[in-house]
Amino acid sequence: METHAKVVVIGGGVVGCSILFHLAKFGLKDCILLERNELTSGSSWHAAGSVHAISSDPNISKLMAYTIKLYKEIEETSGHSVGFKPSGGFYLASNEVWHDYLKRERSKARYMGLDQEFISLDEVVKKHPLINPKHYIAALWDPIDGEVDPSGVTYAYAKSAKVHGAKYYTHTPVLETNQNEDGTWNVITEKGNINAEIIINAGGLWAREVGKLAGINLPVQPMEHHYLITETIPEIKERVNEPRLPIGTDFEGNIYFRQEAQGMLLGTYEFKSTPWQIKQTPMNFGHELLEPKLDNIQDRLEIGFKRIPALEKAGIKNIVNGPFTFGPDGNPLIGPIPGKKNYWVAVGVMAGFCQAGGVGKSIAEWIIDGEPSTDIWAMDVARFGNYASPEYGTIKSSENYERRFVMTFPNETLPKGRRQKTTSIYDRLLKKGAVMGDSFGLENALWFAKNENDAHEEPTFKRSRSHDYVSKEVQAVRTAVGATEIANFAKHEFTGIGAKKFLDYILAGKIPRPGRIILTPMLTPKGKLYGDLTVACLNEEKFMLFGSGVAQEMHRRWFENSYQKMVLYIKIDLMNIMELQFLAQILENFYLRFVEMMFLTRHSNSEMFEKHSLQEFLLY
Amino acid sequence: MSLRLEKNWGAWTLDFRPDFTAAESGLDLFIDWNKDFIGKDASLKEKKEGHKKKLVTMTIETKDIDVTNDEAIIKNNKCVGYITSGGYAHYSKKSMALGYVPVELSKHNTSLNVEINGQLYKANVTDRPLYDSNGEKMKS
Repeated sequence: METHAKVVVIGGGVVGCSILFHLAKFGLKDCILLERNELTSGSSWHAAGSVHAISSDPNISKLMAYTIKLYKEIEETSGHSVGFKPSGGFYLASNEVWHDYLKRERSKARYMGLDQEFISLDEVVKKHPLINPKHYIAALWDPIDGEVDPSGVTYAYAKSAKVHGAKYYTHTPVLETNQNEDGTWNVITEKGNINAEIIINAGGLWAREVGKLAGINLPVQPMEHHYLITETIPEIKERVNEPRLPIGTDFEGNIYFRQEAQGMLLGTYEFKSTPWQIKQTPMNFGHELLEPKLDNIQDRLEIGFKRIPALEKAGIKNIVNGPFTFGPDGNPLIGPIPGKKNYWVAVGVMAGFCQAGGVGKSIAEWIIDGEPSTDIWAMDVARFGNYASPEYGTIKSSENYERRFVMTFPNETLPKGRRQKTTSIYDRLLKKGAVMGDSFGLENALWFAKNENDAHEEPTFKRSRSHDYVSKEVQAVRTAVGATEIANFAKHEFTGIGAKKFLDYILAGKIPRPGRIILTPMLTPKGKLYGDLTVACLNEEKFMLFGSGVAQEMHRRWFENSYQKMVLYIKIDLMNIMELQFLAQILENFYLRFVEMMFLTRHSNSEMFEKHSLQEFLLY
Repeated sequence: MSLRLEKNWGAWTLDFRPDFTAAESGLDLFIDWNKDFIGKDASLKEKKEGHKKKLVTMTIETKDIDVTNDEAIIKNNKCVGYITSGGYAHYSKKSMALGYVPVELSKHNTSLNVEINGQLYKANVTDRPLYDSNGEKMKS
């Protein structure tokens, strides 16, 4: 086995294989994937395999559409069938609320260039004669939906990655990941050790265990999930030379379904979820399923029988209870871990066959170009802070599982995992009738009702009961006076003689004089917005930056990465080997330690921003 | 999140995010071109060549509903952008929204449509804030 690689991907499920494929395709060939068992072992192999492009976040939807369109390419490159069956699919609404939801989804799809359209219930029955249309009032049709063979997809990614020059090894469990002083990682396996510049945890069911090898606690949780496959259904068997039945989702009924051979596949997200292996995933778990718990899904089956009557007479051929991993808000956690140099994750990808293509593309662009081409904030691991403990991950992942097909209105706040952080006036705000929301783990007042008993919101797409209350607050601010708590702003402090120069370089705006405060954009090398920050200059060597609270870790990661680059430039100025070693130590576990850094630079008279590459430095 | 609407101010993660550039968002106003900074080359290039889309604030003619983000912005039956944020501006008593549209549709008083819950509502671009347009109150 190789002893060095630019990137080592840990985990050979659909996510890891897609990352490997994209890295190699985009030109980074020196990449190795390590899989503890066989490719797909864990959760990829037992996925239901339906693919669709609907998501709460439009950018994720866009990347889901990309994922579906990619299947043709990886099949052609690898010569391995992905088993894609383009049946199209519909989302069924059985009440006005879900009808509104579908109208809003279609509005999003317009912007993304997706062809979702409403079809009549007659059309639904024509496409899917087994459905009893009397339960429904509307259906949104998406022609790109279909199904894939999960194993086929995973192997097609892996083999395509190989065609592009990357490598993968199966039956190679990673035993340790140890970071070196230069920031690279030693990946220890039974078959040898690889020194990698970057490692990516795509551990799936074992994401938590892989994370712990590097001292990282990830807020993700495997959840049990049921779907069943019926015996042959006569009505389907009779459909000779007819198009395959479309895939379908019935939100209120909390069921999804598709054709499987001459029968059907029916799945549900139980209202009472079952987190699997809360402490840790057993290392000996492989190509396995869990004992089905029919009682948990009985009520959903009955709904399914009413809405697709042919199911009731059909025998059950197979019940699948397989675990797969969720994140606190149901979206993946991807990208570099703030504060952990060269450590990346792609975990909690619960809809791998809809999303892994987009995840792989984004990570590869991020590593190669320095930034993904589409803003992946909704998937960025940095959207969670240190409040997101493993316990938080279990609680919120369970909540998300249970709410998978439950409407969350735009003005709704979710109840689980709350009060991670409160400010000192929290109790007094409540007494005043505050309706609280949580942002980045911190409770903050959204608006004030009359009193504590009155402090509740009415979830709706329209104007809610808060409208009149907020109106009064606005009136007071505009005509008299108002106060607001701003604890939820992120605060970054920069001190030291080099602080001003550093900020001057990473921020696009003018750095203020002592006693002044200004707003400035922070840009990426490609000129994209990466922050809008307020800078206060307390004195020539002390600055406070105020930014969006939810972006705290994202911005910290940006500062740290820019800081590391600058330290590299500073190193060029330092000829003393002792000082170099000291700097390396600081880099090991620093957190914006400007005082130390600037103490060292004081010895240097040359230009701080002289641009040298790493190679140039090493040749120095 | 109401007061900012009648001041045409955007918010991070919604109106301001890495999908957009400084010039598109209007935050280029705060750039100091006389210094070196990350993203300067790309921003200068954009400044020279011009940008294609622009963040606009609009008022929307509705009675009992406001945008809640991600609604399509329509012009002549074609989707030209999406709503990045919005709500009700209580002091100006107007339903308002922000979103990115092609530069040629960003002029003051351009009429557009916004699709909320499947229904089209008339929208009007307003390039000056409805409240304290010249920012005099902030300076006083």
